[in-house]
Amino acid sequence: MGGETFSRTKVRANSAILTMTLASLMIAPTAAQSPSTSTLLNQESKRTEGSTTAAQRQAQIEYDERHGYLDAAVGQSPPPSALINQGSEKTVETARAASPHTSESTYAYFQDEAEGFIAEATQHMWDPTVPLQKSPRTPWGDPDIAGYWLNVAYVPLERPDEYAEKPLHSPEEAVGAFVRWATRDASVDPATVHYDWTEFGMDNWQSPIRPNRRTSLIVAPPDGKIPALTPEGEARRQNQARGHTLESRGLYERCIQGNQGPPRLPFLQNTGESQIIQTPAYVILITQANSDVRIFHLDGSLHAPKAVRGYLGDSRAHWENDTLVVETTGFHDRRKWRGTTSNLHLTERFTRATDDTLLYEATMLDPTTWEAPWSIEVPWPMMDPSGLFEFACHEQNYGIINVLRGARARAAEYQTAQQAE
Amino acid sequence: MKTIIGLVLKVVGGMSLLLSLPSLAHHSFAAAYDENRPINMEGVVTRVELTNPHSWLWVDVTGEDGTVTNWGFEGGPPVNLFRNGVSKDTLPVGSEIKVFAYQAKSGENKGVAVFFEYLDGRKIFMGGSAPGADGNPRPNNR
Amino acid sequence: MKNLRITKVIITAIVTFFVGPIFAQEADGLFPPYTPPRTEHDTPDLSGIWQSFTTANWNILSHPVQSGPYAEILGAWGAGRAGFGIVEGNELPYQEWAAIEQQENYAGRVTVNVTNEPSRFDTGDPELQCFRAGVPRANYMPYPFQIFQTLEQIIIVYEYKGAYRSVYMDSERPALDASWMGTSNGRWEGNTLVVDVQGFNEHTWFDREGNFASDSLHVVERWTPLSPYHMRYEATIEDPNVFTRPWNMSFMLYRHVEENAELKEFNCVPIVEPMMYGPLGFYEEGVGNDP
Repeated sequence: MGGETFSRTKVRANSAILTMTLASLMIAPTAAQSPSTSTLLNQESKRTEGSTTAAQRQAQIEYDERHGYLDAAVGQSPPPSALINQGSEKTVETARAASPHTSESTYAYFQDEAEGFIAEATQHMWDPTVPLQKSPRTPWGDPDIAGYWLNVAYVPLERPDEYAEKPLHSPEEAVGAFVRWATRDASVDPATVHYDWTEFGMDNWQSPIRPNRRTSLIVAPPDGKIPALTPEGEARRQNQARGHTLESRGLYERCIQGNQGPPRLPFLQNTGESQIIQTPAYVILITQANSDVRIFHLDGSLHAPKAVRGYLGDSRAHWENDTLVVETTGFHDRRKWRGTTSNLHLTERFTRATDDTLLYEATMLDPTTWEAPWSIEVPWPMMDPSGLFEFACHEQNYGIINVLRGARARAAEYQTAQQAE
Repeated sequence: MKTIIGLVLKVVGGMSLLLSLPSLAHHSFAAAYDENRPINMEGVVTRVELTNPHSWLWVDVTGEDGTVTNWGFEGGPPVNLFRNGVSKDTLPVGSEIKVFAYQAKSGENKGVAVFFEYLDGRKIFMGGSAPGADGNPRPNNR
Repeated sequence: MKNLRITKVIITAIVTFFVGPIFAQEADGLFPPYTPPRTEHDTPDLSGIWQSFTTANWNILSHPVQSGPYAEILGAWGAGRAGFGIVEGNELPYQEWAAIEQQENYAGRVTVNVTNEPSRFDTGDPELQCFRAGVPRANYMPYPFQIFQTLEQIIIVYEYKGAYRSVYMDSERPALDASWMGTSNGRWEGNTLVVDVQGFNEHTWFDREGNFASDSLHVVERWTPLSPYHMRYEATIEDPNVFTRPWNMSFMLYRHVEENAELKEFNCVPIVEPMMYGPLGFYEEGVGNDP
């Protein structure tokens, strides 16, 4: 294989990474592709082979400090020293020894399916240089974008440094990257403190995901990265870090809204199911996550008064040729997303790119948060039409209690350890 | 299949395995569960909640001294399971299963299950194609 | 012979075209016979924003004015109006155990007992904690809802919680697991939408009075437009675990006709967080949650 060491060990975020990244996902890391982060992610793959060096720990600390982790105080997350234990060699070894399985054996369980999927999916690549077809039409003449669509991608949000000048892979490179991601997905490191995604059909390869020539989902600005935060935006982002009070936790953890936007950014698990319903006067977007319903008004009406605000915002839409253009404002000021709150102005576009692909584009504009607007493009494959299911998140939110009790237990441990010193 | 994959990797070669950030999970498993307390358990299913956002399997576990404790284990959302033929009848109350999990940081009789299995090692929900897999429908890729 | 046949044809035509429409809608004497417009898919058009104006969410049976809970704090804000109820015969045929259960529900209706396990559902009105209302309750809560129609599905979005139902019109779908809003399958009978709803969980209530159902609840709804602005809602409720026989309810739905009629977002989760999680110590002192 040409000298490349290819580890089939699934690089699942171990608990330390998970904590950091879960916090940072609500607070867009401007340095997401900084050398430290890249180093950290590369270290991740080493960690699954059982080593955590002092340098890696130090990188963890720097990452945490950059993303708003402060010393233990009421309302703040456990500081880095508490998290270090989660990645320690001893912890990982204990977990692996206790587990009935290894990464290799879990991969072997799903190997045939994964390889079958990969072989088929690589025949259907998303190539943004190919002109879009003319959209099919509804009975009343609007472009037809209705159906069940999956917000899913292996392509990272921001362009990795190694592709800095390269917005597009060659087809072969795109397939290669896709193969690596999908293969790695189908195993799980037993030291991961998380249910096996594969067993619940949540690996991206267990969906109609396809290779994509883009090297990043961000298509503007041209460097493929989120623009710099303003000082105000940076301060807000740090305030949005998670602690161990209820209000500091994420909106999805609290079941106030799902993780599907607005706007919709894909994640590494196959959880982006959605349905678009179309009538002459309305388009409705329902996402499986939290069963969030967004109603897009097509009647030319103005945005609702600013005083009437919402977590999902207020959306007014119109057709431009084959594309539905949706403008959303009126976000709630308790909504926290990557440093924005109520000033976000979101423009989304929906186009039936092929019979089984809906092209989703979104532009994020908030001069109080980012120095410039930024845009993403994500092709959504059509999913099988067996429907969405009720997502009664808040009703069954045992998790928020488990999270808060656990977070407080960790904070208490840290304080005890500090006092002992 | 393996040949194809091998060929592709040969063509591409040498690219690093950078990921986008992991998923924004419904909640932070790292906070809720204790990485220092991996547990293996076997028991009898007393309740199955196949509801979003998370499946919860409640299991009666008999300790060495004979006392029975009811444990709750968190799993994934059922949406893709339903799409693949799983329903509330797939895992009947009374089934014997085994679980490898991490216990709740709070010390409660709860955990997040990394692996849910029947005693013979078959997965309970998505079958995979391992020998002895119970013939659940494969994921729908198209 | 030929004359007789022609006569039969003529009489049939007269009955169909002139007399028939009189019976096309249920004869309730409120409105002249009404045929709703058709959608783009050539089905009766029930779409729009609708709301009921009963007090059934307090109590589906007839009831007097009530002061409501915490009257010493809420005063007239928290009171409930008197109402005639929406249940045919004004009685609920509870089994003996269920009649007692309803009383216990009422006594504990504002109890909040949040746990990280199913015991959290043992007491208290689901509405208080911003849980989904279930069916039929969502239709007579004091919030509007909007009906959207496509060929394959009718989507009903309730302003309360933004909860929604998909009514499958093209092929019947079984309930794969229990849910708050049930699984709905619909068909047309003339201009009436008939919806069969099953697959409920065991936690839904009919009102704030503690009237409740089990997971065997089976609801058959009939939505009949009576005028451009009125729709009659009827439902037959069956629950062999709770009641001794099926029973019926019915009430009127009114279309919102103001120019800027829209659903707003009513996300009550932030509102109930202090109530639910405060007792578990997850808030600092003095922290509350404006919606």
